[in-house]
Amino acid sequence: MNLLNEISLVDYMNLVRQVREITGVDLGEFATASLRRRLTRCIQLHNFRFPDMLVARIREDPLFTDTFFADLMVESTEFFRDPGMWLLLRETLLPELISKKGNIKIWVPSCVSGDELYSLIILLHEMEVLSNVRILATCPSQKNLEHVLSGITRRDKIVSSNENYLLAGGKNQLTDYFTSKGILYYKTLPMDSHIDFDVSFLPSEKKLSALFDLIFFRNQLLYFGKHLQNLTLSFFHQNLHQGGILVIGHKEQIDLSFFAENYLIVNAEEKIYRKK
Amino acid sequence: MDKAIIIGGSAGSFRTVVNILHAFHFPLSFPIFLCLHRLKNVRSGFVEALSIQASIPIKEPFDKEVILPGTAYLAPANYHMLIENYQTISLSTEPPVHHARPSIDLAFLTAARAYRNHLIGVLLSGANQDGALGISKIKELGGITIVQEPASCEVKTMPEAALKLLDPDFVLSPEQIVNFLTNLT
Repeated sequence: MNLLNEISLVDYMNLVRQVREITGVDLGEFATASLRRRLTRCIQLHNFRFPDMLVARIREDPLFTDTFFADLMVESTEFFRDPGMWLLLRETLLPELISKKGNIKIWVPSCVSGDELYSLIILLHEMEVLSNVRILATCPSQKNLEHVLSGITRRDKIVSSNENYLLAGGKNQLTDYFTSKGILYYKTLPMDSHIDFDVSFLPSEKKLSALFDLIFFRNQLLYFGKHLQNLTLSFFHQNLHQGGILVIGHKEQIDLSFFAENYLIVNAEEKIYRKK
Repeated sequence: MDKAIIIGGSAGSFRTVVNILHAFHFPLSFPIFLCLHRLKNVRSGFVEALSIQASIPIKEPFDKEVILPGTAYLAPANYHMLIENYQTISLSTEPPVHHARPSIDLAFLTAARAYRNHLIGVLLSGANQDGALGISKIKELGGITIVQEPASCEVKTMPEAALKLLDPDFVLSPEQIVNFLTNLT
């Protein structure tokens, strides 16, 4: 992340305004500081000399606009991040949910790289409960969706996540769930039979037809402004079964008064909440 | 606007950080930011270890936490800690920089922008080159820069990388750093 030459606040505000006019997406809802860094990165990534050149491409090329939205998202860098959370899912939360309800529905509302999704699939596979589960994976852009479906994963990510996987109660080695073809590594567990995929830049803009038992949204609220955070959390609330579980990131802070009214804290450290 | 201190360190810096925190007396009128390389899956114990001898409060901030004078903020494990303006800290899961998350470069660069010539940046002992770019930015924007004297470091890679990039205001031993910082108050 090159931070040395960040775009000016004026350029930033112009970009947000013009992206809103062209695409209807209001980036002003994101946290200003991190979005400014992501926009800077995007301009550097595509070698635009001026911010206006970014706007011109967005105006002319819908395919590029999709890429642009993908580039704004922060990709996770590991599988089984925060292994303590995964261990709780494995040992208590998922067994409880499944024994109570038989079949459960899980929503992963912002699938950027698919690492959280694949960690979940591995976990469910090892618990031998995949057939009890239906997952909705929502990607912020078509490009993210294609990347997730390709199954391609960087080798260093697999290697560096093995410690996480073992701390999360993994029964094998993480490398067992990948195969190499030349220099590329691919996920080997099937991604299609238990998962429905779709695309929505903001989770709160989705039309949903059924309630979920588990919603899994970690380390994305970091990049949202206060208003979008609250909007998203109340959307999750509306679409969660009573007794359903919401998981957010370990260091994400949420409006405690809203949560105290509507949720029980299952685990404060791992930010796991149960809807009352 | 009041000042702030930011301290970056890696291998061999723990004892110096403890001594600095110990030397400050409650209440302080400015915030302190600590960006120290640490294990990603060990969350607990670090704040507690730093707090044993310190009289000022030390905490790991949440995302978008409001900065209070008199508090020392330790970058949490596996997140970048970014200083956004004079008011808030934000956390990020963007990729590691120089294999480090938290990255000293990112904490220093953002703090330099937020506090400009009101910032005192300190780079301690460490085993990689993280922080060199960041402390250069602090100097460029008018802050005071202190690099630990390489001869006094357990691991001198980090200060040496910084000294290649900039001519800091001070090159000091750990004892001199403690004296310098406590005399600021």
